[in-house]
Amino acid sequence: MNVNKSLLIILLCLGFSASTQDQKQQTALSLRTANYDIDLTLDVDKKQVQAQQYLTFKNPSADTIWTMPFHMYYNAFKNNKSTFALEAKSLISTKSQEDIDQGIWSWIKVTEVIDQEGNNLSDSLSFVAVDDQNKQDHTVLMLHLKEPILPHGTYGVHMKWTSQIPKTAIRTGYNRDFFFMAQWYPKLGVYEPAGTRFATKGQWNCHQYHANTEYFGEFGVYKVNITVPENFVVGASGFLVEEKKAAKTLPSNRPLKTYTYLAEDVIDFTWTANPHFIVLEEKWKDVQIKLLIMPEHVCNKERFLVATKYTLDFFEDYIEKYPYPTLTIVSPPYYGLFSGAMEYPTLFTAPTLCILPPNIRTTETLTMHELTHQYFMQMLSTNEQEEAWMDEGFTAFFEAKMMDKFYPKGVFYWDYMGINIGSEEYRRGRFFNADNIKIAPMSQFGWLFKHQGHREIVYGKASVWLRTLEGMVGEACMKDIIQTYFKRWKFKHPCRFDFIDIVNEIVPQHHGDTFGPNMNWFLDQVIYGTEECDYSVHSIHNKEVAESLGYFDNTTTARVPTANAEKLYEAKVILYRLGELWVPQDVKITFDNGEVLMEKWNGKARSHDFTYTGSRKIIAVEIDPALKIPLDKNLINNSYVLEPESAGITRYFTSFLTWMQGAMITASALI
Amino acid sequence: MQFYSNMISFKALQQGIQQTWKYKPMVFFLYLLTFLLAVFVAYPLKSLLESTVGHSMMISDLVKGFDYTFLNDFKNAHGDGFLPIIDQSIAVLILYLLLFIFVTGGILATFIQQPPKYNRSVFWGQSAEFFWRILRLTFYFILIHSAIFCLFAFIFYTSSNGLSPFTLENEGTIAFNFKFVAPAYVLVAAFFFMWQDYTKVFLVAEDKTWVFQSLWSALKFIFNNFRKTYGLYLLNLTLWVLVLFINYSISTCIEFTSSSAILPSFLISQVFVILRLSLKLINISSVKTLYQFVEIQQNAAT
Repeated sequence: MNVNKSLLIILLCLGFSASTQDQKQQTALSLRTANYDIDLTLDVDKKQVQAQQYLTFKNPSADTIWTMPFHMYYNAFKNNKSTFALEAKSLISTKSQEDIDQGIWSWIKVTEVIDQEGNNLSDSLSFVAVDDQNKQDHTVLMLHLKEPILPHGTYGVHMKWTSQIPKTAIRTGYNRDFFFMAQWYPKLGVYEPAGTRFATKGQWNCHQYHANTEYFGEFGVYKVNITVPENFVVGASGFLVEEKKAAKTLPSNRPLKTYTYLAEDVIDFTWTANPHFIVLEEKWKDVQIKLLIMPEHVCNKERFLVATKYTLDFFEDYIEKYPYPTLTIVSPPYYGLFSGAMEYPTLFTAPTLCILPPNIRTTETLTMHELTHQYFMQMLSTNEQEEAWMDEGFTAFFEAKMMDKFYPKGVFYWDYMGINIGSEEYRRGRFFNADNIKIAPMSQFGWLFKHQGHREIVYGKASVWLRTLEGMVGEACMKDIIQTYFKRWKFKHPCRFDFIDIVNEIVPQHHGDTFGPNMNWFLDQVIYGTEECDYSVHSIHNKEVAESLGYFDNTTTARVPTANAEKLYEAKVILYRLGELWVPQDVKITFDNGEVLMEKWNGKARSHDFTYTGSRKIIAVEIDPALKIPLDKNLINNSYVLEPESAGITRYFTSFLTWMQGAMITASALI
Repeated sequence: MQFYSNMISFKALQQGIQQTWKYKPMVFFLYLLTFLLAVFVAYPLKSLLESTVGHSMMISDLVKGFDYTFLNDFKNAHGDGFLPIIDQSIAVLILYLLLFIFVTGGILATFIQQPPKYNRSVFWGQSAEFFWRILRLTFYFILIHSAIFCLFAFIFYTSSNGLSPFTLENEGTIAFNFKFVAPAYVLVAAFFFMWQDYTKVFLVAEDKTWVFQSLWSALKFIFNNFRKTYGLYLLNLTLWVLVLFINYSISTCIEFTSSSAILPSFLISQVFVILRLSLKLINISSVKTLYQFVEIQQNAAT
C-alpha cells in the first residue's frame, strides 16, 4: 500500500510537471476538469492495449461526490446482447461471422484501481445500465469511492486496464496493421452541477454506448505515452512532445518506440498507428496541419489541404480563429474505411479514394464537415447523445454554407449532362427524401430515435431549419447569434436552452419586435414539433368590376355606361398554408402594368388572400421569392403565373425525348 | 498478308458507309421510328409537367437544364404521376427492340440484294420473312451476352475480393482489376457481338431454316478470316467511340442554358441520334461486304 502511495505521488508529480512544462496554451481555455496521464503499449500481435492511467478530477460543483462513472466503450463489442449490439442490428453488422465462430470478442477490463490516498478500489467497481437496465451491457463502469470528492476539490485515481481491440466496424478498432483508437480508454462521465444543462441537482452524465449516438466528454488535459512497434507512424490528438525508443519490447521481440502527446482543453483523445502512413505537413498561420495519408491517396492531398484551409479561414472570419496549435487529418486506408469519417478533438478522419474523380467532392465535403466539428461538439461541447442536432445540425449547416461558397460548381457536377448539385440543396433534398420526416422531434434523445430516423432529423432537418432561421433573420443577425453563442459557451457544455436564449436575445437587437417578443414560436415548432412546412399559391383571379349602372340612392336618373371608361378589376391572389408548421412569408405580386408589390403575410391562417381593385391585373405571385425558407417542402407550388412559360418544359421534353432515343439505340446493340 | 487483311477491312468499311448512304431511307425510317416512339413517351411527361407544375415560376429556371431542387420536389409531390411514364418507357423500349428485330431482315436483305435504290417490297417482304428466325437468334445471343457479362463481372468481383474493405490492400486493386477486366470484356464481348452479326448475314444470305446452321457457318467464317473480321469490328467500334467523343465534347463545351438554345441543342442531339443509327447500319453493311469479298475470293480460288 505504501509503495503504491509513493508511486502515485511520483506519477502525480510527473503528470503535473508534464502538463506545466510542455503546455502550449498560455492560459487554459477550459476549466480542465478531467485530466488524464496515460501510459499505454499497443500489442499489435494480440491486438491489445495494456495501459495505466492517472485521472485527476476537479469537482466543478459544491456537491460531495461518492461515485465516478466511466465509459467503457469497447465493452459494447463484448457480446451480442450489449445495448450497442442490439441496436446496431439495424445499422451495420459489427462482427464478422469468422470472429463469431472463433469466439473473438472485444472488451476493456480494469484490473486495478487505487485512489489518491492509496485505497485499493478494485472491488468497488460495478457495471450500470442507466438508460435501459440491460444487465448484459457493460459500457458504463461505476466506481464507488471510499473517500468522497469534496466540493470544488481535486481527486486522483490510478487505473490499470487492458483492452482487446475490435475489428473496425464502427469508427474504432483495427484491421490488419491499421489501428484507429477512438473511445479506447476508461473515460470519465461529465459531472453536471445543478443548473447545468438539464440538471436540477448535481449529477453524472454518463450514458451507455448506443449504436446511433456519439459522445460527450469533459474538458481536460491529456498526456499520453503511446508505445508502438518502431516502424509504426503515429498520429494523435494534440501535439507531439517527444518520441524515443522504448526500453521494453513486445513478447515477439519487436522493438518499440514511445510517442508522447499532449492535448490541452479537449474533451477526448484519439490516436492512430499504421506503418504505411505518409505524413504531410503544412502550416496555416500558426497551426500545424498534419495529413496522415496512404501512399495511394497522396494524389488527393491538395483536396484535403485546400478544403482545410478554406474551413479555417471561414471560421476565423465567421466565429473565431482555430485555437489549437495542431490539426491532424487521418485519411484511413481502404481496409480501414469504417474508421471514418468522424471527428475527434484536433483530429478527424476523412476517407478518400484514389479513383475518386474531381467532380465528386466527397473528400472536400468530409474535410469541411469534420473540421467544423472542432467548433460544434469540441469547443462548444454539446451532448451528442442527448442533443445530436446541436453538433451535427450546426455542422451540416456550415458545411453546406462553405461548400457552396468555395465550390460553387457543387458537391457533384457533370458538365456533359449539365448537372450541378449544390451542397445546400443536396442537404435539403436528402432530408425531404427521407422515408418519414415527421418520425420524431429533434429534442428526443439520440438513442430513442427508431427506424433510421436519427440521421435525417439531426443532420437534415436541423441544417435546413438553421438555414431557414438565417433566411428569416438575415445573414448578419445569424452571424451575430453564432458568434455570441460561441463566445459565451466555448469550452463549456451548452444545451438547446442556451442557444434558444441567445437567439431570443440577438434577434430583437437586429429586428426589434418584427418577429414578436422572442423566436420561440419558430424554435418550438422545429425543435419540439414534427410538423412539416408547405405553402402554396392556390390561384389568381382578375375579375372585372362591373360599372354601376341603373338607379342608386333614390336617384331619379339611371346611370348609363360611360363612354371609353377604363376597365376596373378586382385582382385577387389566394394563398394556402398546406403544412402544419407556420412561418411569416414575403409575397411578391406582379401586375400586368409592370408594378411589383412586396407583401407580408404572417403565415398563420390556413388561407389568405391579397385583393386589389384598380385597372391592373395580377399576372404572377411568388411566396418567399428570396428562397429564405428552405424548410418549405415543396418550392414548386410557391409561385404561380397566369401565362406559363413553356420553354422550361420544352427543354425537359426535348431532353427526355433524346434520352429515350439514346436508350433505344443502345438497347438495339443486343440485336 | 496482314496489310491485305487491313486493307480489305478498310474497304469493307468504306463500302459499308457508301451503301448506308445509298439506302439512307432506311436510316431515316429507323430515325423516325425512334423519334415517334420517344415522343410517345416524352409527350405524357410534358403533359404531366404542364398539368401539375406548369404555372410555377420555377419552370422558367428549367431552361438552364438539370435542377436538383425542382426534380426532388417534383418527385416528392407528383412522383406517382411519373410511375406510368416509367412503365410506358419500358414498354416502348421492348416494342422498339421487337420492331428492330423485325426490320433487321429487311435491312440485311437490302444490303445483300443491293437493289439500285431503296426498295420497299424487298425491305418489308424480307423483314417479315426473317422475323421469327432473327427473334430466336436474338434470344440465344441475349443469353450468351448475359453469360459473358456475368463471367467478367464474376472475375472482377472475385479478383477484387468482393470489394470488401477488410480484405483488400487498397481500392487501387479495384481500379487495377477494372482497367484489365473492362477492356478484356469489351474485346471478348465484341467477338460475340460480331458472331451475332455474321450469323445474321449468313441467315439472310443463305436463307437457312435453322438458326444453328448459320451460327456454325458464321463461327467457321470468323475463325477462318479472324484478322479481317475482327479488324473490321474494331474499326467499327473505333468509329462509334469517335462519334461518342465528338458528342461528349460538344455537349461539354457548349452551354445550352437559354430558351433560344433549346432548338439548336435539340437539333444537334438529333444529328447524333442519326449518326448512331447510321453507325449501326454501317456495321451491318460492312460485315455483309466483308462476307461477300471473302466469298468472291474463295469462288475465284476454286
